[in-house]
Amino acid sequence: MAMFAHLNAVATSVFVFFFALVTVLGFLAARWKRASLDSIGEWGLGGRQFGPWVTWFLLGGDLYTAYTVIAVPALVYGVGALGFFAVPYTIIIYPFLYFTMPRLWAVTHKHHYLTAADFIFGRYGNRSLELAVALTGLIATMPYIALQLVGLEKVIAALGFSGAGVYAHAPITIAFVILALYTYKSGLRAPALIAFVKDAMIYVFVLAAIVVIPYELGGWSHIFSAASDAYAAKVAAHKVAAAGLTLAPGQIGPYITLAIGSAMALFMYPHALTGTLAASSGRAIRFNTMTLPAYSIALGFIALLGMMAIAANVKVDSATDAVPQLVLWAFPDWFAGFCFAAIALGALVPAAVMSIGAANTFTRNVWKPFIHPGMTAVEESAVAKIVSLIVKIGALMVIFFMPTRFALDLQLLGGVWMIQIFPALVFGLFTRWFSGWALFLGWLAGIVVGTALSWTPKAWVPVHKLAWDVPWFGHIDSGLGFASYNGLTSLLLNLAVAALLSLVLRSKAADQTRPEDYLD
Amino acid sequence: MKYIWLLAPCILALWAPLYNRVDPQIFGVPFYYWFQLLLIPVSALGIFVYDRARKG
Repeated sequence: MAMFAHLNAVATSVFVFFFALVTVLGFLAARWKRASLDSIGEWGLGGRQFGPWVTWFLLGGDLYTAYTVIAVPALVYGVGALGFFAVPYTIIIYPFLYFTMPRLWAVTHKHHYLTAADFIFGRYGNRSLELAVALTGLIATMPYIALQLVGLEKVIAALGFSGAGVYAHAPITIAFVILALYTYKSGLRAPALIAFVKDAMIYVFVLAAIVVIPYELGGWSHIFSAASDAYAAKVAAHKVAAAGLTLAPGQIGPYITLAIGSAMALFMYPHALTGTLAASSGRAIRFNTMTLPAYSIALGFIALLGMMAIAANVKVDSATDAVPQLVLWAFPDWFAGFCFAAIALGALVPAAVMSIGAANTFTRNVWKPFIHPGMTAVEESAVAKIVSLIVKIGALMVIFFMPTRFALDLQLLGGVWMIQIFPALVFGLFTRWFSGWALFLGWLAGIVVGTALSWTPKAWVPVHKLAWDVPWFGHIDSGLGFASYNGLTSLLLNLAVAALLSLVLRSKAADQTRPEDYLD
Repeated sequence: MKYIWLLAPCILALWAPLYNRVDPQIFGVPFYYWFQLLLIPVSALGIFVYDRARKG
């Protein structure tokens, strides 16, 4: 058959072997740390019993996704130094986690909260704010799952599969249906168990890549000089505005603000919180703030694969093919199959956790309060399981019927939206000074302005100069003269609105939590 | 003062003009890259030291 004519048989066999292995693990996971999976706390949060090491594998597998492994080096391949913002981003995130997540874990454990929105309703007693937080998480998660599918499809294409028409998406459909079934059965235990395999494989892949590829290419200095020449040629040909081994002056503002804003947004996402709240103690979370940076080092080296792809002269139609093509260029077929399997599992683990996080959020913060307040624990678990299926089908539909651009744009906006729940969630861990309605209006202002800043006639963009044309008002220039990440800029407005309105809209709503609930 | 163990790596990581240079290189890797990569384990170590100091 034509779609298998160019298939790399050896690489595909290795790939299928690992996929089959984790499928078995995914179903067996239901028996791990055995408990009744008819309770949403067991299905959707693994019974909050993952110790330091299980949490390390789960969070590492959950946060450092397949899409990251493809997109970060793709950005470095395209423009160089700017793509490295993932490194400062992942440096500043762990001190932040150290101070905030053990508190969130403690209060959610004490009150049996499952989601960010559960906590926010408990803290502020405001259903509108709870719904705003829940919907933000749901909408931002959908394109993120779809992009994991894009990552998966890239490596399957590199295996030589070339289906047309209805067969074009056949492999990812099969992969996702299998993933959906064992996630439905085993809940969060499935990605937690698979993450062991995935993370170990990613480390082997990265170690091999940074030893073998520079050797094959004649050393690091050759890699960087080849990349430098390629960036200079691109800039000279006006293909990109700025690219190079270091940041152009205009890229420094975006570099810093993207790192800060992305770090603030990441742990607002349902999947990041699901992985964190499933830990067995605050201690397990603190342990991870010191050990998860190992994945950041791997990510830093993965970013450099973009430059290795330039030096190896791999020819690609799209920058996102750079890593798969480099792997094929550098390694024997069997090991290329291993690397592709590692990346593919890197799509399945986060996709599973994301769908579970979205399912928990929908069940607890949309369905229960607004549709069926009298739900039992068994009913909650039943709704969550079905929603996890629907979410995955939704992501598949996005890939089937929408251009990839759509998922990318929505993912970009998702980050700008997600960061808007930061004041309610993070400040809420320390103080009840802000009022629910003020936080809600701050959120609304942040969403609207963040979206407006990201819009240009040609495309959605992540950064905007700190000078604005305000409708019916005129031009305002901050005088700062640099461009900033829209998520961060709009968050400042959100904070200002929330703080000012909290002065006038004092909240009389009840607070379920007490100061000692936040200490683990 | 023990907060410095957490804050210093973050400030260095965000102070892009400080490390936005090619030289000095190590094994052909520009300063920009090896400095930031090195800062990752340094920041983890900073959290470790802070954690120990906090527990006293």
